[in-house]
Amino acid sequence: MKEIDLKKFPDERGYFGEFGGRFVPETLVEPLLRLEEAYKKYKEDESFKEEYNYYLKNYVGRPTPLYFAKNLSKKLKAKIYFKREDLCHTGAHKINNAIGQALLAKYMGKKRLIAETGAGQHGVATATVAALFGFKCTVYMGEEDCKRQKMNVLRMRLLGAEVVPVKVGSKTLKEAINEALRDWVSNPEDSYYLLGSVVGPHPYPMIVRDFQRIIGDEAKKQILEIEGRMPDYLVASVGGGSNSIGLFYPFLEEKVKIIGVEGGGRGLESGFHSASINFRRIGVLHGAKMYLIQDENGNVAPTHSISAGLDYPGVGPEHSFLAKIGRVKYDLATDEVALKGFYALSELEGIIPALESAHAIGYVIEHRDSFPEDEPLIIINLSGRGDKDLGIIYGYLEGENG
Amino acid sequence: MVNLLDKFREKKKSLLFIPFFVSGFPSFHFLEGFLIRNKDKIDILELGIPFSDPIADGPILQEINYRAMINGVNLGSTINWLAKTEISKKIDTILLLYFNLVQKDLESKLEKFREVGVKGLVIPDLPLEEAETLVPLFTKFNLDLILFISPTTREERIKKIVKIAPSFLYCISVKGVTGERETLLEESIAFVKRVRKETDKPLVWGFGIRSGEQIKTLKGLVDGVIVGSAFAKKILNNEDLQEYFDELYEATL
Ligand SMILES: Cc1ncc(COP(=O)(O)O)c(C=O)c1O
Repeated sequence: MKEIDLKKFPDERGYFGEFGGRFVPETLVEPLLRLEEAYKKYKEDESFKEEYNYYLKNYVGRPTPLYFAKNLSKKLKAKIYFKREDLCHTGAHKINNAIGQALLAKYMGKKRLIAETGAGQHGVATATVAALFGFKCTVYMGEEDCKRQKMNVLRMRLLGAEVVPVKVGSKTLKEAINEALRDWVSNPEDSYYLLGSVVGPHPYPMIVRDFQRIIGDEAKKQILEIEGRMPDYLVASVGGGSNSIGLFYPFLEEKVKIIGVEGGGRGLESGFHSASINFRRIGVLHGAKMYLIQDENGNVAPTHSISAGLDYPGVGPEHSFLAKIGRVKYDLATDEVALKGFYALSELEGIIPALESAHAIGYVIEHRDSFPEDEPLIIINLSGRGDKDLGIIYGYLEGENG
Repeated sequence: MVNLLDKFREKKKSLLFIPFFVSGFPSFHFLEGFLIRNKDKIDILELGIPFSDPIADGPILQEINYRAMINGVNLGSTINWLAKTEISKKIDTILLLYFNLVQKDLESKLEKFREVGVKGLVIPDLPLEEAETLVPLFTKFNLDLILFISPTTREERIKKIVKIAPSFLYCISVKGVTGERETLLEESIAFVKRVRKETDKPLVWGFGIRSGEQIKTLKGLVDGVIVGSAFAKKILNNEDLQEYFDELYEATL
C-alpha cells in the first residue's frame, strides 16, 4: 500500500479525503474565500508571526509544561505525562486559537468578533482577545449551557462581551453555531466569525488546527528532551477536535499510537452520547462533511455528555478522515469513566481537570490493561482546568447523597 | 413534460409566482386543500422539507421547521404524500431541502423525486463548488438543480455560476436569513441589475417579499418572485391566508 502524505490535507477544495468541503449558503462563500486568502497571506507574514508568538509567550504563558505525573504513573505502571494546557491564560487550550484568529481579524480590518461556545471556554477566550485587541464581541451560547456554565457567562460579560442565550432546539453548542452562522450571514463585511474548534466550512478546520498545533510541536520537543524518545501513545478528548488535533498533528508521521476519546455519555447503546465517530454515520452539518449523529431521516439527533465541551453531534473532518484511514483510533469514555478520571487526577496529582480532559484521563485508567507495553509512555492532553465544572460536580455529589 | 426553463421563456405574465410552503405545516390536509384550490395561480410551488438545523432561515421558518419536524414530517412522508395526491401532477413542484437530507443514497432519492413528479431542487447549503460535480447526476434524472447568487458573490463567480446553472437562478436579495423586510433595498435592486447584465437565464428574487407593492417594483427586473416567510407568518398566527395570497398573486400579473 502506498503511504498517504498526511500533511497534504486539506486539498484545494478544503477536503480531507471525502470529508470537509464548504457546504454553506452562497452569501458565506465570499467571506470564506476572503478569510482563506487573508490566512494564506498572513501565515507567512513576519510581523504577523512575531505578534502571534509574542502573545502566546507573554499573554497565554507558553510554552506550557509537559508534566510527569508521578503518582498516577506509579498507580498505573506507566509513564504518564500531561501537556498542561490547563495552565494557559483563561484555563484551556482554546486561547491559542482565539489569539491567532483575533490577530487575523485585526490584520483583515474587522471590527467585531462573533463566536459560539459550548462549555464557555471558547467564549471566554474570544471575549478575552476581544478585550485585548479592542473588538466588539457577541457570543452565542445555548440556554442549557448558560445554565450549566453560569460562571463562564459572567466571565464573558465582565470582559465586555454580549452573551446571547440560544433558546431553540437542544439549546446547546449545535444551536449556538447555527445562530453564529446566521449572524455572520447578516454581517459578512464588518464581522469576523471566530470558530472555536476544527469544524465548520473550509478553511476553518485548517486554520484552527494550525493555531493549535503548537500543543504538539511543544510536546514533541519536550518529550525528546526529557525522555529522549517518542511517546508510545498520545491520548486526548475529542469534541469538535481542536485540542486533540493540536496534539496529534505534529506526530502523525511518527511511529506513535494515537487515541482520541469521544464523549460516551451513558453509553453508545443508550442513545445519550456524543460519540460521533463511534456512531459511524456520515453527514453534512455546519458547512462540512463529517461523522454526524443523526436519525434515519437525516435530522441531526440530540446528544449528551456530562461535559458541555464534548456535547456536539459532529467531529472535525480531519478526524473523520484519520478515523476512516485508521491512522487514529477513536474510542469513547462514558460520563462515569470521565468522573473517575476527574477524581483520580484531583486526588493523586493535585490537579482538578476540565471534565472534557477527564475523558482522556479516565480512558487511560479504565483501559490500562489493553496497552500491551510493560511501562507505556503516554502523553495525555490536559486541555483545560476544572474550575468551570465545579457546579456540575456539586450537582452530582448532591444527587448521590440524596 | 414542460421543463422549468421553457416555462419562463413562454410566460405570459411579467413575473412567475413561486410561493414557498413548509411540507406538512400546519398539516398535510390543510396544505393539500389550499394548493389544489390555488393550482392555477401557482406557477411553481417550492416545498420545503423540515430540517433540524435550517441555518439559512430566520425565526419564522425556524419555528415552522421545528414544529413540522416534531410532528413527524420528513422527506419520506412528504414523498409519500406527493405520490398519493395530485399536487405535483397539477403544479410544477420543486423541493427545498438542506443537503444532509439527501446526501446519503443520493441517486435513489433523485429517482424517487422524479417518480413522484418533482421538477427540481433548491439546496441552500450547496454553493457552486459543491453543486458543480452533481449537476450531471441531476440532469440524468431530469431534475433541475437551482443555483444561488448572493449580493456578496464576486464577479468571477457570478460569471461561472450563470454559465453552469442548469435552470433559473435564485437571487438571494439580501445579506441575511429568510424573513420579511420592510422595504426592498436599493442595494438589492442594484445587485439583480448587476446579475442581469451577465445572463439571459431567468432570475428569481428570493428573501424579504411581503407586499404587492414590493412585487410590482420588481417587474422588468427579474422573472419571478418567491414568497415564503410572509405566508408562513399568516399560517403561524392562524390568520386568513387566501385574501393575502390573492393580493400577492395579482401583483405578479
Ligand atoms: C477544556 C476543553 N477541552 C476540550 C474541549 C473540546 O473541544 P475540542 O475537541 O475542540 O478540543 C473543550 C471545549 O469546550 C474544552 O473547553
